[in-house]
Amino acid sequence: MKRLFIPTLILLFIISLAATAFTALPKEMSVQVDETKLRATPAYYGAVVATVNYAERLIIIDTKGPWVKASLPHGRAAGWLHISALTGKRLAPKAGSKNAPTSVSSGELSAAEKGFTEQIEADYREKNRDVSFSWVDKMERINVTPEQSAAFLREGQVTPELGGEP
Amino acid sequence: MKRLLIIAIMLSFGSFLAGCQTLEVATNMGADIAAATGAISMQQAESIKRGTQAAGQAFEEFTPENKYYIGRTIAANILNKYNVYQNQEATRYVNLLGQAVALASDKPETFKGYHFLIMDTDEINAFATPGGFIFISRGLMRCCTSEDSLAAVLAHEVGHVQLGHGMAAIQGSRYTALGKVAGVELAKNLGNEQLAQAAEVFDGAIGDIMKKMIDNGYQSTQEYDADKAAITIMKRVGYNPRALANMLEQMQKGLGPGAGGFGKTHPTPESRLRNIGSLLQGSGAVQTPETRKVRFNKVMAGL
Repeated sequence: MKRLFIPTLILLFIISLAATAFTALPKEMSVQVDETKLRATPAYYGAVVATVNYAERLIIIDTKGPWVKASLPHGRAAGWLHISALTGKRLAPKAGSKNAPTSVSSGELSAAEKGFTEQIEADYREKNRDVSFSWVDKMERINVTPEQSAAFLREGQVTPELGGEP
Repeated sequence: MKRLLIIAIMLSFGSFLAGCQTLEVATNMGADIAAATGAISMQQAESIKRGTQAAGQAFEEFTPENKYYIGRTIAANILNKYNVYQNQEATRYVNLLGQAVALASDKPETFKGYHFLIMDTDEINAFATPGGFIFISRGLMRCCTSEDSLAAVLAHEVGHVQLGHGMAAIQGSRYTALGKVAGVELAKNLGNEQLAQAAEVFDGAIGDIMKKMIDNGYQSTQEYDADKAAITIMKRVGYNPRALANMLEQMQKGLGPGAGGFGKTHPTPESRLRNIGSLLQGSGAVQTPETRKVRFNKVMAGL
C-alpha cells in the first residue's frame, strides 16, 4: 500500500498542474453587439440587472450552457448574458460613446473593424440613390422585447417540450 | 486508504476534465462552449463550425457590426425589388413570433437584433440577411396552415443567419482585398483612398450575397442545415416541428412548374421533406390550441 502512495501523490500533482493550466477562463471579454442586458438569471426572461454597450469590457465569472455570468469592472453589477453577445477580442469603442477613451493598441483589434461601417454605407447610398433605406430604418424601429415575446408564447400556450429554457 | 486514493484520483481527474471544458470556453467562442456545457449537442456545434470553416477563416473576422451594415444594404436592395406589405397587425405578429424563435436560436444576439417584414407578393419567397433582417412573402405565409408552420419558416430563416450562409456567399477574394486596405484599425473615418478601396470590396460583397439570395440560391446542404436548425429551434420554443413538413407539403402544391422564388432557389419541398423525415419521429400531428388558432387565422384572413 505504502509503495503506491508516493507514485500516486506524484500522479496527483501532475494531474492537478495540468488541471490548473486548463482552468484559465478568459478573464475579460468585450460586448460585440450595440446594446444588451445583464440579467439576474441565465435566460432572456430573467430580470434586467444592467445594460451594457458595444466594446464594453466585462469580467467573466461563470458559464452555464450558452450563458455567461459577467460583471462590469469595479464590481458595479453582475449578471448573465448570452455568449453570442461577446467576443474575446478587444473592440474599439465608438467615437462619442460613453466608453470612448481607449488604451487599445491597434494590433489587438479585429482587422474587419476597419471596414463596413456607417461611413461605407453613406458612400454606398451616395452612389446608389435608387436604393432607398427608409424602410430598413422603419424595420429597425420595430422593437419586440424578450418579455413581449414571452407573453406572446404564453398567450398562445406555447410551452417547451423538454421544460428547457425558452 | 486505497479507497481514499482512488477517490482523490477520480476527483483530480474530474477537475482535469472540467478544466478541459473551460479551456474550450477560453479558446472557442460560442459553439464549443454551448456544446461542452450541454446547451447544444456536439453535432450542432460541429455544424456551426462547419459553417464557419466553409466560409474560410476570414468569416469570423467580420464583426457583428460589419454584418449589420452588410445586412442593412442587402435589406435595402431586397426592398428595392419587393414592396412591403403594410399591415401593422400582421407585421407585429410576425415580429413577436420571429423574435421568440430567434431568442431560442444559437445566435440570439446580433448587432441590433432581428427584425421581420412581410413582402407584398404572391411569389413564394423569403430572405434573411447577415445581421438578422428577415423578409417573408405573403405567398410563403399562405403556405402556412398554422402558427407552428409560420414559426418553422421564420426559424429556417433565423437558421440561415445563425449558420452564416449570407456571409459565406462572399467571395474569398473580397477578404483578401479588404485585408489590403491600409492599416487603419483605429480610424473610424477612412481616408479617401482607403474609403474607395473598402467601398469597392463592400459593393462586391453586396453583389455576391444578392446574386446568391435572389438568383442562384444557397447550396442544397445549406438549406437542409437551415431546416435542421429550424427543427431544433422549434423544439426549444415549444412548437411542433412537424409543422415544417406541413408547410413544405403546402408549398409543393403552390410551386407550379417554372415558379420563381423558392421554385428557383431552393431544393424541392419533396427533397427537403425527405431530409427532415428522421428528425420528426416522435412528433405527432400538429394540433394547436384554440387561442393560437384564432390569432393566426385573424392575421391570415387579411393576406
